[in-house]
Amino acid sequence: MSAKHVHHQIEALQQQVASLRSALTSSTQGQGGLPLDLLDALQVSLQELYSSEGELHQQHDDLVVVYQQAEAVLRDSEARTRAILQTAVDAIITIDTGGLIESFNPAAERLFGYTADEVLGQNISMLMPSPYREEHDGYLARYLQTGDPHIIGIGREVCARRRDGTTFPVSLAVSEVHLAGRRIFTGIVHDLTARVQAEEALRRSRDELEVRVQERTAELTAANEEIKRFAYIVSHDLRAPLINLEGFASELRIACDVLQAALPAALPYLEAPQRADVSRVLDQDIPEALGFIETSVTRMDHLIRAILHLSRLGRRDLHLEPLDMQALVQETLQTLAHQLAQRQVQVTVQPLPTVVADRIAMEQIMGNLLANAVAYLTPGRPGEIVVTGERRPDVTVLHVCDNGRGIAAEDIPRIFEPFRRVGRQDVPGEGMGLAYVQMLVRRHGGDIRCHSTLGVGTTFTFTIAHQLAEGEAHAG
Amino acid sequence: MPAEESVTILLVEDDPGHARLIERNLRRAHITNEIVILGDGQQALDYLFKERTYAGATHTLSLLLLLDLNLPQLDGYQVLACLKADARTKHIPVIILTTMDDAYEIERCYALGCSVFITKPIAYKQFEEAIRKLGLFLSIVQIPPGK
Repeated sequence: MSAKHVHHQIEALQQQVASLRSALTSSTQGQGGLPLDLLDALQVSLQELYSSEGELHQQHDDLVVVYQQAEAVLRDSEARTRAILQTAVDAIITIDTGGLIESFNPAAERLFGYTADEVLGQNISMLMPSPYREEHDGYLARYLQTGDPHIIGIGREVCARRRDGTTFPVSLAVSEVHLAGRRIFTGIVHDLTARVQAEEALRRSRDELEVRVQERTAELTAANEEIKRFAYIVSHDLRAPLINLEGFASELRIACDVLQAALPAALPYLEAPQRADVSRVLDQDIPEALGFIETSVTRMDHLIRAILHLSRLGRRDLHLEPLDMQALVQETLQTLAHQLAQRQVQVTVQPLPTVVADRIAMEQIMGNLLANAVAYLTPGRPGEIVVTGERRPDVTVLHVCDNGRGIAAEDIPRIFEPFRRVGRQDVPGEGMGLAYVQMLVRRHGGDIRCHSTLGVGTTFTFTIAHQLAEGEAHAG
Repeated sequence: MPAEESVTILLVEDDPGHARLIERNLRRAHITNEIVILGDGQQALDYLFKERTYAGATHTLSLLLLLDLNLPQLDGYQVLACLKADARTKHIPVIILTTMDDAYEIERCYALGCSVFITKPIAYKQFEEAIRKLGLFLSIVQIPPGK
């Protein structure tokens, strides 16, 4: 039902009235009876018109309801949007293209210390410290001209200014709103004061920690240097008496020889028991005593040399170069070729990463570990040695794994001690190999660990740092 | 030393055991010169300059010095430096015989004026051999007679 329809009906009605008029006019002139059918038609049309009118009313009422509903929805939506702005934690400010503040939410009031009334209509630059305050109008004008956003749609950390003149760091996100016929800019301002303070505190405590770590490292390095020097001095100074021991043991032997040479001539002049005693002393007692002295001296000599060597390993300058570990391990295996063949040992070398290290040191490390793996096999079980390695962010890790006799759990810490050996002592050695290896690995900023199961096998794992701590390459 | 056997070997060594072993092995190498053994640096200088306990002494300064560096009461460096700084003694050949094997220290001794630097071998066998060779060497060395 529409107004147009009603209009047509009224037109139709008018025509009918016109017809009636002409009919009545002809009737009063005596031509024919009353136009009853026309009156009927008129009646019907009037009825139809009434019901149309009724429908229009209904439509109008319906429209009013719809309108009211729409209004309610709009109000509700407005209220929600307003509530969002009112309750937002961050400051939300809108400005027009002239930089004048159009809206200023409660969070903005709290953040900047102004009431909305105090700022509405003012230039947004009042909330900025110099020099931004003076530059803002220019920025805005340039953006309006070029459309080239520096902050709009991007967001940035800037400095803001409160009513009391103090400045504070904020994160600012600006978006552009196109309304009918005009543009406004919405800025969301988030206070960064707390975050900046936390960052400062973190930086300070990290610096403090750095200093303390460096102090501690210096202390440790100094202590370490002292120990190394001590080991060097001690083993060096222990040599001197050794020379005397050896030298005079030799002199004694010479003196004995002199006596022995004279003995045959002198013996007949001695009484029987004395003769036997003198013979025994010269033939057995003295040589035996000298023998023990010499053995002990040799042992001491070995020990001192080993300590000296160990201390030198800790002092020698490292010459770092990239090493093809694959090739180095193969060369080392060559030197063990005889033992490998003799004991029918199978060696598998997986692809190994390149390592930056001192060549001689690495040869010694791998040499020791592989020699141990070959030496401490289990009889009756074909030997298998596997060498693997992988590169990690800070270090390169290398593993030497064997299926030999293994090491008891309680013995594992002791194997790295100088002069200590564990397990069945059927393999020649001084107990220094792993002490050297540990020293060399530590010089490279790494460490060595041993995992083992008695009767099953042993794996040695060591690491080499990619970057040595300052001063590590040149020691003592 | 071929020139008269009046050259005295002055052995400055604080370890009495080493001193004795050196002496005995030099003798075995057929060195027959007088060997004087002193145990510290101060005594060595007193002997050389005839001071203090050696004031008024009449021994010859036709000397060959066998000098250890690790001495009490003035170390070997100081003895060497003093000796070479004085006109009366700077002609005396000095053979350093010490446990040190540090290249820097060796250079330092040569710079101070020593004639020869020998590192005492740490094993006795080599030590003994070195002294014998030293003896052989000394047997062909010419020493200035001194004033």
